[in-house]
Amino acid sequence: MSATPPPMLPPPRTATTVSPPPMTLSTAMALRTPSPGPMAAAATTAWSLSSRSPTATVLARAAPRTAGAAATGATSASTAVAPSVCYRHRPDVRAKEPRVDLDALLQQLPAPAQTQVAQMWTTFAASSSRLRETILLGLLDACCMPQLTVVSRAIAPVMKMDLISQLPMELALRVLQYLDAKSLCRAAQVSKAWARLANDDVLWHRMCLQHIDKRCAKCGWGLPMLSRKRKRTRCSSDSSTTGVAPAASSSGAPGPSSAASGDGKGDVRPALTSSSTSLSRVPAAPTSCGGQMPIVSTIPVSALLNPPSSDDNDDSDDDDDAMRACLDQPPLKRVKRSGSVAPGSIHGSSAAVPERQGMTRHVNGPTDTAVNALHRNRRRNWKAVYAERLIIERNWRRNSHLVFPLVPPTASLQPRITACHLDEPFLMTSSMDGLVRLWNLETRTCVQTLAGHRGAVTGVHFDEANGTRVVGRARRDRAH
Amino acid sequence: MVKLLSSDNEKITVAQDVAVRSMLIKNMLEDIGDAEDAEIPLPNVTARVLKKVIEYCEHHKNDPMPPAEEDELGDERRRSDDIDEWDADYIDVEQELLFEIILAANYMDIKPLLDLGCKTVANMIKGKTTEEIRKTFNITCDFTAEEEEQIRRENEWAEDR
Repeated sequence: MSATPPPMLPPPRTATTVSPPPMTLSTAMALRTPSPGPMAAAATTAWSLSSRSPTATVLARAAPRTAGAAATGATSASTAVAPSVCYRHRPDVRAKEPRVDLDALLQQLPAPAQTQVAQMWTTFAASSSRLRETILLGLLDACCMPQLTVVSRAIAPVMKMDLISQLPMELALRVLQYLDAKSLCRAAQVSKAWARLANDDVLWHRMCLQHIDKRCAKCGWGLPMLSRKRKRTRCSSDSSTTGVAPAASSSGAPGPSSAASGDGKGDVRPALTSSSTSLSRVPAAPTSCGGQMPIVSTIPVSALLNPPSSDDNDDSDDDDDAMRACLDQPPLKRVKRSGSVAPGSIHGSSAAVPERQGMTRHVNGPTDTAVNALHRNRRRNWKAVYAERLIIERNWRRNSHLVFPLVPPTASLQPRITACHLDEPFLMTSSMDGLVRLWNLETRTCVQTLAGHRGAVTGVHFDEANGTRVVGRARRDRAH
Repeated sequence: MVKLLSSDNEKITVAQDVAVRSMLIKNMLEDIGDAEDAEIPLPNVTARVLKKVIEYCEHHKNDPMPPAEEDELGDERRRSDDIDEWDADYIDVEQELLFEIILAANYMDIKPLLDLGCKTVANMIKGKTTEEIRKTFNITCDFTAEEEEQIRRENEWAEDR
């Protein structure tokens, strides 16, 4: 008959577990004795007391190959022998397991008994699985209750196995996907192998899909969808290290892990984010201008004077887009923006940079750092995203926030702020004194003051569309 | 009737409607057509495990067939607390047998059984502290003290809702 190949073959890792090679007496011995050899040699080797010595371990690690070779050589010789390799008899697994110190126990016995017991063990070790079972049942039958208690005590711990590490990876992940975030985080602390699995991006991507911007059907909780300001975080802090803001460079780019840890930082965020969502409505996103060059950063005065009743559609969808786009894609391939920027206009935009420089000021270094940062940004793992959203959601829910003053270095009296825009960790403010100030919220200092306006500045906007940084707006259509 | 041959060469005969719960067997049967006395070899499954798996298939032989291909799990399928009484009793086995059942269900392509196994393991993890998880699965922590502390801090955010 023609057998179709099995659809989901387990990877080689568990090959010995699920498809044990036909075992012969000699291979069974080969797993245990320091000198895996032909059957005769192996059989004469008594239960090796040194089997747990370092050299034996080394040999044992090399044993699978030897055993395999022996098995293939001996298959013809042996007909139908029950497999006696289980996962516990994989030498690599065994070596790690601290078992009862049999050697010491044996040493305590009188000499003749030592040989006897060692012989019994050897016979047992060399038996096929069916024989072993029979022997064991016979032994148990001969036991009285106290001895059975000994057996029971000894069995309880060894009946536990590290299921997650032993399973093929895709099955382990299949198990872990049933866990909630809290359990996953606890699982990630169990061991190195568990950490690798429980931090897997696929799991956390699912977790994000399940919770962000919706109510999870399973737990009833949801997490906020954040605007693309969040994504810029890396961008700005990275480019700040290029020299513009020396103070900012000390804070460095918040890595995925630091986003998840720093308690104080987590507290700062919600207040900032919430303030920015209310204030950043004023300027329309440049992309909404449409037309041939959608990214040109000047904004019509009309838009300034009559701020569109922004429903945040333009501004808030970046992660959203990425989220939706990622539905069909493996994680890590986060789509940058699928919004209103046509593919062609991305190239057009770089050509448009010089022409725009008259009206915009580049606060930060060259755009390639921004590109790099964006690239790195795309690699932010989903666990970090989830952690960030959870912290923010929690802070919103508990109304935990932080209030701190921002003191301008030169001004004698606090200037009246007219507008602000957040691009973490930077906050840009415009004020009645005609200055635009750039603050680093992590250091809580003013890192740059932009002068040049004669009157009050009424609007500021970070313009991400093209790597430009700052657009300031004065009254009367004076773009800066 | 379908004849199955386990990896330890034991022949097990089961009714067709039981055997086809395994997509692997179903496909094989379709391939060999009417060959009545053909044996289906299952080189990855021992008789002991195969019998246990067949027990599941027997009980669930009248269930509606699960949809053939659905890799993206829906929300409702991700729950692990929806195990019915018979299944819970069936899967209440030693960890080693549970392990073998999961592998066999995966190999024989029996989705509901695979899910049952995975959910059961997940339930053994859920709601436990890290130390309790280690105890449940007899795991020794291989982190250094500093690593452990760092990882604890990295995962602190999840601790209080």
